[in-house]
Order: sequence, then C-alpha cells, then structure tokens
Amino acid sequence: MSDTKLTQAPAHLRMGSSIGQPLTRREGFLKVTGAARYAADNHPTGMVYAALAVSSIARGRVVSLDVAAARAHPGVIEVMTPANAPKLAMDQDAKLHPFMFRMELLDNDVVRYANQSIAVVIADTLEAATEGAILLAPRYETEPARTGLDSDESFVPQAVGAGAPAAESHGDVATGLAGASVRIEAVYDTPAQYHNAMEPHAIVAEWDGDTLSIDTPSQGMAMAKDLRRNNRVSPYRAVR
Amino acid sequence: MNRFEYARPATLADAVMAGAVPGAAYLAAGTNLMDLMKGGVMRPGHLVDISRLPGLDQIEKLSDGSVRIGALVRNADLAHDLDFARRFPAVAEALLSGASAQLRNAATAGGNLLQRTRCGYFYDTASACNKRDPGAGCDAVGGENRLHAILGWSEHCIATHPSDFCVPLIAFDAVVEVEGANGHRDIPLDGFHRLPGDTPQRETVLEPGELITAVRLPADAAGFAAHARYLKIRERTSYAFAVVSAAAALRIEDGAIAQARIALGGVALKPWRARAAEAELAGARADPAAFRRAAEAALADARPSGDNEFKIELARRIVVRALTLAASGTPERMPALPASPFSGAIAHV
Repeated sequence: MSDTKLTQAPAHLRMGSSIGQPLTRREGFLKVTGAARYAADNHPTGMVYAALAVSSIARGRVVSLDVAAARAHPGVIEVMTPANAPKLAMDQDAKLHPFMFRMELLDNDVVRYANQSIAVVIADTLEAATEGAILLAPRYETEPARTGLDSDESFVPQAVGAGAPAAESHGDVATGLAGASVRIEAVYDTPAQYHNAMEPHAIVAEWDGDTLSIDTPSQGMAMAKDLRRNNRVSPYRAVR
Repeated sequence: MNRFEYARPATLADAVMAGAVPGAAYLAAGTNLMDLMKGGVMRPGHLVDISRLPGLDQIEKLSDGSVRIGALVRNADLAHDLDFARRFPAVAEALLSGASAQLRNAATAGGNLLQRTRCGYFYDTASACNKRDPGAGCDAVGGENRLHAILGWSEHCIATHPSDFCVPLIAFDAVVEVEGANGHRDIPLDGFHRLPGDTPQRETVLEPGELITAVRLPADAAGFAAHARYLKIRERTSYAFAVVSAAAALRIEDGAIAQARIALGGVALKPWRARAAEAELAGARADPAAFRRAAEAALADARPSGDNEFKIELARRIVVRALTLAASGTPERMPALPASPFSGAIAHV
C-alpha cells in the first residue's frame, strides 16, 4: 500500500482494459476525510421534510390510515395517500426502456411487498414528519405473502431483470439427465443479504420557477432524470 | 419521535419527584433510549434529564473496602480508572468489550443496567412483542431466534439481556443503590432484573420513578483480582453484542480453588449467576476436568428457545475457556482485544 497516493487525481489514465490496473477512486479523498458532500447534506432555505409511511405487511390492502391524527400533529403540513396524491403522468407498467421498473407510488391501496410506501407525510421538521407517519397507524387486510421459492402458488412474471424472458429452455433436459454419465444433485442455501448503501437514500428537491432541481445519490444520472420526468405529476414541469 | 416534556432537575430529590410522573423516563447518556424513541419503540411523555445531576459521577472507595460506582460514571472512565481496573480486572475487561469507543465514552454505569434487550422483534414495531405491547404475543418464538435465550425464558419472551458490564458485576455480588419517592434502598443485582415469566414487560424490580444512583462492589470482590477474566463470543470481535459471554474468577490457595465465581451473559433475560457451577469448583484442583464439570452444572437447566441449541454447548465451552484463562492468571495488561478468545494469552491445559 506504500504507493497509495492520497490525491484526487487518477493515478494514470487508462486506455482500453481496466484489468490489472490500479484504480483511483476520485472522490475517495473527500470521503475518508469527511469533506464529501452528500445529497442529504443540502438544506435549501425553507426546506420541508417528507417521511414515508411504509407497509408492515408483505401482501394485502391498506384499509385505513388515521390521516386526521397525522394532520393534527404539530408541524405536519400535508399527508399524501392514494386518496389525494397527484396522479402520475404515465402508465407505471409501460416499459419505455429495459431498466424501467414499476414502482408503487401511491397509485392505489394494494400492498405488494413489505415496507412498500403507503403514504407520505410532509412536515417542517424530520421529527414531525416521522411521527406523523407513525400516527397514521395503518390497518390492513392481509393476504398470504409469497416470500419463498417453495410456495405452492407460482408466479411467472412477464419478464425478469432488464426484460429477459422469465423462462427459457434449450433441448430436452429430462432425456439429457436420464442419459447422463454423471449427475450432481445438491441443495444450495444463500445467507441473508443486506443492501448496505454508503450514502443514505435521500432526495433533496427544489423548485426554481418551472424547473425542478434534484439532489440524490444515483448510479445513472441520465436514467434517473428520465425516470423522474416520466413519473412527473401534471402539470408538466421541467426536471434538470 | 413523539412529543415529550423535557425537564432537567437540579437536585436528586427534584429528579425523583419528576420521575414519578406517569409516562416519565430518566435520560442519562441516552445511548439506548434515544434509539428506542427514534424507532417509536419507547414513547415517554416526560424525559427527566439526570445527566448533569451533581455527585453521581464519582468512583468512591468506601471505608469497608467496597467501591461505589456513581450511576453517571461513564463506561470508559470506569474501565480506565487504574485503581479500579487493578482491583476488578474482569469488570474493566467486560466494559471494554462492550459497544464502541464512542458509546463507551458516553454510556453510564446506571444506564447499562437498564438497557433494553436487542431482540429484533422488540425493536420492530410491526412485530408482536409482549415486552412492548403486553399480551400481543412474541414473534421471536418461531422466528429468527438463533441468538435468543437458553436459560430462564418463557413462552411469552425469549429475549436476552445484552449487558457485558452486568455479568462480572453479578458474579461479584454487586448491589444496586436506588432512590425513590419512598427513600433509599439497596437491591442485590442478582435480584434486580426479572425473568420474563408471563410479565416480560416488567424487566426489573424498580418501582415506577425509582432512580439508580450507584452500583456497589463489595470488598471481597477484589480478592479475585489475580484470577479474573471476562470472555465474550461475538459474531465480530468489536462493536457486537455477546452470543454468549462468561465472567470467571477464582481464589486459588495452595493449588486448589478456595472460591469460584461464574456468571454468563447473552443466555437469559438477566445476567446469569451460575452458583451450581461455583459449588462444583469449591475445593477442586484447577484442571480441565473440574472446569468441564462446572460448565455442565452451569448449563444443566439450559434448553433451546428456537434455532439456538448451539448456544448451550458454546456457553459450556466459554465457561471452560474463561475458567482456564482465569486460572492461568489475570494478564498484566488489558488484552488488545478485550474479552476476545482470539487475543493471545491462551493458556495451555
């Protein structure tokens, strides 16, 4: 590690393959010294906070939310639920490009997965927004969730990943296996896995006239911009 | 976080009065309470901030040789008090094996006794928990419970008490000093925490509004200083709670064990004193066979509460290991990895 240089400049420019090349993380210096500025570090004047109320069930329907209790909490400005959320400008199931995936954005009261957003509470402090979300005290009609691979109830999606078919078959597997000289049967278990983001998931959004500026961690700037433009609420406003 | 009234009384008497209000909670360092409030697990209507109360941050040597640790003494300050660490090395080792450096700098002695279980179902307000919501049921039963209790649990609660500090304290017969509306009283630590039974929401014998002011270690606890260890099995070697832990201390005279003290952590809803194991060692030679007999006795009543049968054998082995290390002598210096079975000085038996 003696040749590690604490600099923001790349060690050298690579042409062609990156394999075997030292890789300089350009923002590494800022991050390890605590100087890096993350999306959630931005606090525009007059900023208000949104907290998501999320589903505690994995499948079913939200039958009630105590919106009055949340609204009555000091500091709460607005409570958005499927009943009053602005409608999206486009069909959530339209797959305009392979990396567009359906997101549950308060379209209806259906719960499709645990921790799905079911309401948004907006308040003048993060604490008030968070408490408002707790006060919604959702009640549910619960349906059995399909959370394992061994469920009796099969689910075949139209496509998987970035649009690949859910099932593909080549040749005659049964015959091939029956005639194989070697067969290996094994059960593979994988441990629980956690998403562990370096930067907290956060969006800071600010209107400037008709233009909406968004600060958010993203791996694909252009795609994120597209997605938000496609998910825009009417009336249309520009996203930059 | 819920809205709450905040008070910072200037005297102990005022604090105890403010703490007697229904729905009040005492706030010291807040290393556990703040997390619980942010998660909506605890929602006290009144916070009584005792962190600046005068006189509770002293380590005092009393005339009878016992030591009084003020409730507001920070974990790190206690562990790094040279005189204290020399007299009670297993307590210092337990303190330094807990949490992170930042938390140890903040967390208090009194708060340590009252920290809540780290059972995931207790922290997840969407789960059923008899501690949080009496009568709701227990989602840990039949759930993810490989780290749960193997001793003293009930069908109503299989959680564990997470403290390291309390484990050697209970081995050394520590006494909890308490101040309440009805005055002062002493509670032996062994009788301080309650087993869950059918009221897991009642975790200690404290009456509402009672405040811990100090923890006292009796003079004879220092008699074990030459042979005292705390060992802790964790899923990583720092900043993790014990899967199982053990405090072991011996008084060895003429090659035989005159007296043994053994306690376990991470096995029950209270720090677990293993008196049967201690009796097994009285008068015995300090050898592997005796240590194994002691370990068997310590875990004789253990039974799995779920996917945690492995903890029973793990606890036996850590009792043997802690006794072995204690017998070989308290290290001159605090191990670089306190309480870790990987930190050198592994005795050969």
